[in-house]
Amino acid sequence: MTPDSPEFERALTGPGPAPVPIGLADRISAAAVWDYKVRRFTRRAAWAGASFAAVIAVWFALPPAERTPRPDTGGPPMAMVIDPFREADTALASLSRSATDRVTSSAPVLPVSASIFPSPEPVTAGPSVSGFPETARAAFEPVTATASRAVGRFFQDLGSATGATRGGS
Amino acid sequence: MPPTDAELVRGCLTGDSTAVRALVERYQGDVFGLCVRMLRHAHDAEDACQEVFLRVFRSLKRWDNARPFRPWVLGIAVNRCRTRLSRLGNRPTLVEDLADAPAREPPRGDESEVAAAIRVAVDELRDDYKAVFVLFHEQGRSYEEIAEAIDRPVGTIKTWLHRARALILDRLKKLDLVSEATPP
Repeated sequence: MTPDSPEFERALTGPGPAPVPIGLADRISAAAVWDYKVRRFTRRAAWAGASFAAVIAVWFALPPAERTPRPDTGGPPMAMVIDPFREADTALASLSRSATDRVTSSAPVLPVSASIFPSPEPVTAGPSVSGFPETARAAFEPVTATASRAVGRFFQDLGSATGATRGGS
Repeated sequence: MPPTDAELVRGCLTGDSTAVRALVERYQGDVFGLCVRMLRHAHDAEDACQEVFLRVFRSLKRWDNARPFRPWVLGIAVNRCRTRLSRLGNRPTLVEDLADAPAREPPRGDESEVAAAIRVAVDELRDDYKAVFVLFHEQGRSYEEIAEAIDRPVGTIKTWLHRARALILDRLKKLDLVSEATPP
C-alpha cells in the first residue's frame, strides 16, 4: 500500500464533516448582529468625538478677539410696509437738532435792522414866558393860564362826580 | 432561487439580519467541521467558529467579489485555528486528553479500528498538513480551492497532502493495521 493507492484513499475518506450543533447558527447570527451594532455605535461615537475635538481645536486656535460672535447679518429679508409719513418722521428724527431747527422754526416776517429805525433827535426847549416883556406876557395870558384852569376844572369835575356817585347809591 | 454569495454579502454590509443568518447557515458546516478537526474539541470548535464568522463579517468590505467566497471563509477559519493552537501551545490540556479518547474506544471491527487510527494520526499531523488533509478528504474541496484558502500554490498543496498521507500510512504500519503486502 502506498500513500496514493486507491485503497488507502478509500480508507482515508471519513464519514464527512462533523454535524453542526443545534442552535449554533442562532448564536453566531445574534453575536454577529450585536457586533455589527456595537461597531457602528463605536464608529459614530468616534466620528462625533473627532468632530467635537476639531471644533474645540479651531476655537482655541483663533485669536481671542475673533471668538465673540458677530451679529447675524444674514438671513432672509423681512417683509416691510412702505409708509411715507413714517419714513419722513424717521428721517427727521434721525437728523441732528441743528439741521431740524432750520426747517421747523418760523421765519422772521421783516428783517430786523437797527438802521431802519433811527434814534429820535432831542427837541430844544423854547424860551420861557417869564422872560418875555410885560406887554408880551399879557398877550400870552390866555395861553399861560390854560393849564391852571384845566387842572382846576378837573378837580371840580372830580368832586362833582364823587358827590353824584354817593347820592345816587 | 437562493441568493448568491455576493447578494448575501451586500445584505450583511447593510446590517440585514436575514442575510447574516443565511450566510451563517450556508457556511457553518464547513467552518465547524474544519474547526473540530483542527482543534479536536467540540466546544473550542464552537467558539472558534463564532470567532471566524465575526471576523468574516468585519472583513466583508475587503472581500473581492470576483473571487469565490468559500475559500476566503475557509482561509479565515484555518488562520483562526492556527492562532488558537499556537495560543494553547504545548501545555497539557483537557483537549489533548480527549483527543486520545477515540483510540481507546473498543474497535467495532477492522474498519472501525483503522478509521480510529487514522483520526488519531490526523490529529498528530502538522497544522498545515492537517488543514489540507481535512479540506481535501473530509470536505471534498479541490486543490484549487484549498490553495486559495491556504494561500499557497497548488503544487505546495499537493506536496503537503502527499506527505500527510505518508505520515498517516507510517502510523498505520506501526500499528500493523496495514501491511506492505496489501495489493494496491
